Amino acid sequence: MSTTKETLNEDVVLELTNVSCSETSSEAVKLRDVNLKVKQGELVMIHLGRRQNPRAFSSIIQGLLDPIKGQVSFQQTPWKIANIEQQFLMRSRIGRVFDGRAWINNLNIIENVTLRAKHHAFPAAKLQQQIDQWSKLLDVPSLSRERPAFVEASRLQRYQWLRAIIGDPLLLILERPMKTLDPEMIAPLVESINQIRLQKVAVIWFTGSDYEMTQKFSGIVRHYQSKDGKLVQAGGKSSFDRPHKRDSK
Amino acid sequence: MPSTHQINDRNRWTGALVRGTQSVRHAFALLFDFIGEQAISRFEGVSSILAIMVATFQLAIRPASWSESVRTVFSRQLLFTGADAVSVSLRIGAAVGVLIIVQAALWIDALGVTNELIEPILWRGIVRELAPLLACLVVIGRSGIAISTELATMVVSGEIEVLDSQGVDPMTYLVMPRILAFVVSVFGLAVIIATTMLVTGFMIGQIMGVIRTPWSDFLGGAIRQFSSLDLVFFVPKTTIAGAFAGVICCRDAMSVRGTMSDVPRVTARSGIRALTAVFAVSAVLSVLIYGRFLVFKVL
Repeated sequence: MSTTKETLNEDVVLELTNVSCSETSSEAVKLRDVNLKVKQGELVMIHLGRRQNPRAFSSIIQGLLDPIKGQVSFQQTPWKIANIEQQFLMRSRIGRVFDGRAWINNLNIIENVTLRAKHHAFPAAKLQQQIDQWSKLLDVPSLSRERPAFVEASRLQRYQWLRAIIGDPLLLILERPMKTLDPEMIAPLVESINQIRLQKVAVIWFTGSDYEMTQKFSGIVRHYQSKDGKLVQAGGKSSFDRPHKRDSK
Repeated sequence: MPSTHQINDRNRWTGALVRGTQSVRHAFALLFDFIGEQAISRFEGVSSILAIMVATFQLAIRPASWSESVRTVFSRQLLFTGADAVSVSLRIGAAVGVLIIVQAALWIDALGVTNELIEPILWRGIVRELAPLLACLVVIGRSGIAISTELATMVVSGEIEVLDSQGVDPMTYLVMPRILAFVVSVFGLAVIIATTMLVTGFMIGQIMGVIRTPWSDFLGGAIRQFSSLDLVFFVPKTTIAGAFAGVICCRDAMSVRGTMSDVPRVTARSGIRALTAVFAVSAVLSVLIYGRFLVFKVL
C-alpha cells in the first residue's frame, strides 16, 4: 500500500497546500487556502476573468513569491526548505510563458530563447535539435538576432512558447499564451502541448477565452476557475484535488 | 514668609526650567537618534558592500558559475569597460603627463633643485597615486554609471524576475561578471595610463629642456625608483578600488524601487558614491602601506 502511495507521489510535479497570498495588485489572481496537485503529463487549465493577471500566481508556483500561508512544492521539494542553489536548479526545469513582455532587452532573440538552457549547461547539440523540432511544430519564425524591442508582439509571443518548451522542462506555465495572437494560431500550440505531455511534462494553462478551453487536447484535462480566491473545478465542485483517474489505478 | 505673588513667580520659573530641560533632553535624544541611525546605516552599507565582494569572489572561483552565458556577459563587459576605454585612457594619460612635467619644471625652477628629481616625482606621483585614481575615474565615468542605469532599468522593468523565473541567478549572471570586469579593467587601464604619462612626460620634458637624458637612461632611472612597496600598493589600490566602485554601482542599481523615473536619481547617486569610495579607499591604502597621509607621517 505504502509503495503504491510513494509511486503516486513521485508523479506529482507541483503541489500547493492551503496556499493563500496577499494581494500584490487589484488585478492579481487572489488565492485563499488553495490546494492543487499537478502530476506528470497532466494539463490543468485555469480560467481567469478578463482583468485577472496570473503573474503573481505563477511566481508563487515558481517560488519567486512567498505565500502568506501554506506551502508550494515542486517535485516534492517545498520552495521554503530548498537552498538558493536548489531553487535556481528547480526553476530551470520550469518553462513559463509570461502574460505580457518578459524579455531581457539587451539580449537578442536567440540569446533570450536559449538563455535558460545555456546557463544550465544544456548540451548544445541537443538544444539545437530541440529548437529545430519545436520551431517547426510550433510554427515559430526562425530565430533572429534582433533585440526584442524591434520584434512585433505576435512573433515575440511565439518565441515565448519556444523559450518555455525547450530545455527539457518538467512543468510548463502558460499565462494567456494566445495573447496578441489570432485564434487560428492555436492549432500548433495545442499539438505541441499534446506532444510534450507525452514526455510527462505537466502543464498549467491560464486562459481567459472559451475557445482555448474547448480545444482538442489529448488525455485528461482538468478545468478550474478562480472565484473569490478559491480554485473551483469547472462544474462547480471544490478545488481540492479529487482522486484522479490515474490515482485509482 | 514669601507672598502668594512670589510663590506664583517661583512656580512659573520652575515650570519653565523643567520644560527647558525637557526640550534640551529631547533635542539631545533626537541628535543621538540621528547620529545612531546614520552610523547604523553606514555600517550596514559597508557591510553589504563587503558581503557582495566576498560573494563575488566565492562565485568567481567556482568553475560551475562560468556557464557559457556568464562568460559571454563577462567578455562583453570587459570589452566595453576595458578595451573600449583604452583610447580615452591614452588621451587622459597624455594630458596629465604633460601637466605633471610642466608642474615639475615649475617647481624645479622655484626651488632651485636639480633635474634628477624629475624621475622620482614622475614615478611616485604617477604609479602610486595618479594612474590608479585616473583609471577608476575613467571606468566609473564610462561604465559605472552605464552599468547602474542598465541594472536599475532591468529591475524596474521586471527583467530580473524573468531571469529568476528561468533559474538564472542575477548575482551570478549580472553582478559577478560586471564587478570582475571592473577590477580587471581598472588594473589594465591604470598600467596603460601610467605608461602613457611616463612617455608623454619624457617627450614634453625633452622638448622643454627639463629632461636632458636619453629615453633608455630616463626609463632606467624611473625603474630604479621602483620599490616592492609600489607593487604592493599598485595592485591592491587598483583592484580594491575597482571592486568597491563596481560593487557600489551594482548594489545601488539592484536595490532600486519604483518606476523608470527613479533610475536617473539612483544612477547619479551611485556614481558619486563610487567616486567617494575610490578616494576613501586610496587614502586608507596610502596610510596603511606608506604610513603617510598626504605629507603627514601617520604610522
